[in-house]
Amino acid sequence: MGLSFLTSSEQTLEVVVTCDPSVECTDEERSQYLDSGDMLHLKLGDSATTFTIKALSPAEREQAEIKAGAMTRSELGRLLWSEAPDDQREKARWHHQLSNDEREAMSEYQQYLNNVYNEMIRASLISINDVDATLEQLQMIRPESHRVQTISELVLHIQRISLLGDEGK
Amino acid sequence: MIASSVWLSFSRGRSWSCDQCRVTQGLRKKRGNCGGAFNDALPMVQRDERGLYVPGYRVCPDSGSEYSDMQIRSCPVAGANRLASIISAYHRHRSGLYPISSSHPQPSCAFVDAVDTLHMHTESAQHRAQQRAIEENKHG
Repeated sequence: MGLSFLTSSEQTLEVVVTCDPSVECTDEERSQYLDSGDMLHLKLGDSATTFTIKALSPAEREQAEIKAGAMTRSELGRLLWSEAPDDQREKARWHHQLSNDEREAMSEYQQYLNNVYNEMIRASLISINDVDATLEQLQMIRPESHRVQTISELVLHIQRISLLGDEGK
Repeated sequence: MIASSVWLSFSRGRSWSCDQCRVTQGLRKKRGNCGGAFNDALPMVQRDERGLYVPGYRVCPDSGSEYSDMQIRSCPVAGANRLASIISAYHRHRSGLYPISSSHPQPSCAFVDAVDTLHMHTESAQHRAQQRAIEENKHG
């Protein structure tokens, strides 16, 4: 069942990221872990890095969106974003047909979404390996692919514990 | 899940219940063993790209239009049981026993969304019951 949210914005949860060399899993196990947050799907080594995150309150979520630029985001970009095809090849052809203005609007909206994700982490991340942590520490993760994956997975965990989702409704 | 809690009690004997799984051999397994994914041997189950589901109107035959089109992907009774703390907090608040803010002083977005959903479906169920009572009175 896809229900794993927290009811209080004071509750915290420890998570790991699957690009950590101390975490072993198959693609299916990774997907199950990201869906449920249940570490039993993973094989954890002793040196796996743990991230402590908290669920967001409505005010914190709204604040994250405002800080990311919700008031000035491109509405055309948002509209195009929602209309874009899911299939990657089809999307590439669809994107090729856009005018320069539309491409710029899409790009601005993508930047806005990235900012929202960063601000969500800023509001939610409490500590790394039990030591107080900030978003800036995540930005220093190298290689770049691990930095991007760490941020993506943390955002998925924050959304999972903070939002009700379709299953919950 | 949260909407199911309203319509399961509204539809009473016509909706899914634990009694049915106790009485009918093998039904519990087909319904996902209290919270798991449905088995494709489950009667009236349908499939889409996300997996197996049963339409809301099959789970609670007498539900409102908001619920009847929902795609239920795991046992709604088990789901409602998991959300019991939210449901009881909402009903205690509604009956004036104590405010919801005293039991959940720092709610998450998910909690607020759950209470909103619960309130919307509870109001809809009450409205439906009133409409039905009016219709029954009209026709003696």
